[in-house]
Amino acid sequence: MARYVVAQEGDIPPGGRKIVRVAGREVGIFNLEGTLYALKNVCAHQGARVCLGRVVGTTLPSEVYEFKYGLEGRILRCPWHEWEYDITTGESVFDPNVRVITYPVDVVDGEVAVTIPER
Amino acid sequence: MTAPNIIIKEDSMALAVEPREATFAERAAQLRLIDTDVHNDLPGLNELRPFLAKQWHPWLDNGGPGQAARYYANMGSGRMDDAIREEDGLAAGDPDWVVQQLMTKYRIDIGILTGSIIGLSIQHDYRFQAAIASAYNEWTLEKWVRPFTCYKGSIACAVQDPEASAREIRRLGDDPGMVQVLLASAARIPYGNKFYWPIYAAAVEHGLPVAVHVGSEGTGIANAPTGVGFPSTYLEFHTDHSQTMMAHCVSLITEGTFEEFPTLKFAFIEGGTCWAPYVMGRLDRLYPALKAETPYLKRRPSEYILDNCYFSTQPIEEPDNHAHLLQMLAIMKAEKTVLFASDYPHWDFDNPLMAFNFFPADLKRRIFVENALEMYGPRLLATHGRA
Repeated sequence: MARYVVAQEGDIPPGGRKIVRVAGREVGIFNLEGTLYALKNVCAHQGARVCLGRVVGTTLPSEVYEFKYGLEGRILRCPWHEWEYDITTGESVFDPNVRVITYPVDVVDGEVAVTIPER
Repeated sequence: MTAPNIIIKEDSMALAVEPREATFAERAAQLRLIDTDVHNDLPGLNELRPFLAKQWHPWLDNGGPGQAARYYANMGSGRMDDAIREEDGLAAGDPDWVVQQLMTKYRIDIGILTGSIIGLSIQHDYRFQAAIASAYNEWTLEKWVRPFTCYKGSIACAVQDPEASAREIRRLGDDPGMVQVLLASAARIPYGNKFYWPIYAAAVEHGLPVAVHVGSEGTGIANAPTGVGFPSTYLEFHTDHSQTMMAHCVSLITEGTFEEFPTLKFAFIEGGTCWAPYVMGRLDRLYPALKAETPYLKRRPSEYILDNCYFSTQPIEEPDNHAHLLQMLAIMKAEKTVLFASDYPHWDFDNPLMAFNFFPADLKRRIFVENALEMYGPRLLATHGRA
């Protein structure tokens, strides 16, 4: 495991994101209401740069003909095939086994860092 | 002719010391990928004005004739959001942008342009649509094909008027920049019907394959998108695309179209692949019993599929077990019948660098390059720049 400083805290305000290149890969850092999350910029489906996708809400599991909208601001929708992922876990909304790789992220002295496992 | 082509790299010294043009086989061997479905955007009908006769200009001046538009759509933009260019808000409005976003990034040598107005064939005013088709074809050649070596065009035509379509095919049939005739799968009558045969006569006369591309089903004067009517969701609509493809394919076979035009090659674009094995099996099973009805069919129905028909990959089926897809492809002899297509820049794009990783290398080579070369023939590599 290695810890990489990738941004200053002020670079990524709440609702914002920053895509960084670190340890040979692209990582998207998302700020959801003050908490940071780091996702690898590769969709589990066909490899699109998923972190370029829209941050949206989605329709939650429901009864037939019922629509419940939620998770506003927490869902990352891939720019290609619109697969939706929960930014806080990396899990897709349709199958928890289908997920974007996530990394631990922390802030020390105003510096944002992600921890990437060794290859 | 020593004009550089897409195969010979600019830094190749061979070209400088040996002015002989590479043979078809030499150039074919260098190819890595042919994309049979690239949707270049038409920014607006007004772009066609320079190519459109004066009598049609009032339509453009007054905001267009009210083209019937497809009303099924997904909740996103319908395009690859990461490919949209800021200047024009389009993902494929500029040919250089597509070189950069598609051709270079995914190592594609040749892109067959399928455009964005195949729906003209289900508009009500077939006279105006025939004029639009001609103008659009000129625009495609002028703006996309001739300035580049990597693009080839499709001849759009107002399919609802087969005689006008045949005239348009004959007008452009010898242009090396055009490699096929393009029809929409949305239709009023299945494509094997004799009504359409003037189109096929013109196509085979010029050695052009005919491609049918999904889109516009249930719009304008076309029939409903499925045999049982109108779906309510895009998920349903999109899944049912293979229905219209199947109906056209079965019609082409059973009407004897491939007996009348034995050299006609027909490509089914964006309708999926796995329905073809079903059609082959079903027709071959019924054919001996029902042969009296179609005595003009000289061969087992599946042979027409294997010899006259091609199917594009996108959107490739993605079963959990990859072996299942490979089995289906084996039944339809994909090593002869399947073509790669990306559908760039539409949202259901297939990434050629990832989606086929489990395919055996020789099959992938057939699908990526050789089947397209066989279907389109030498004109796919012919020089087509301005004289």
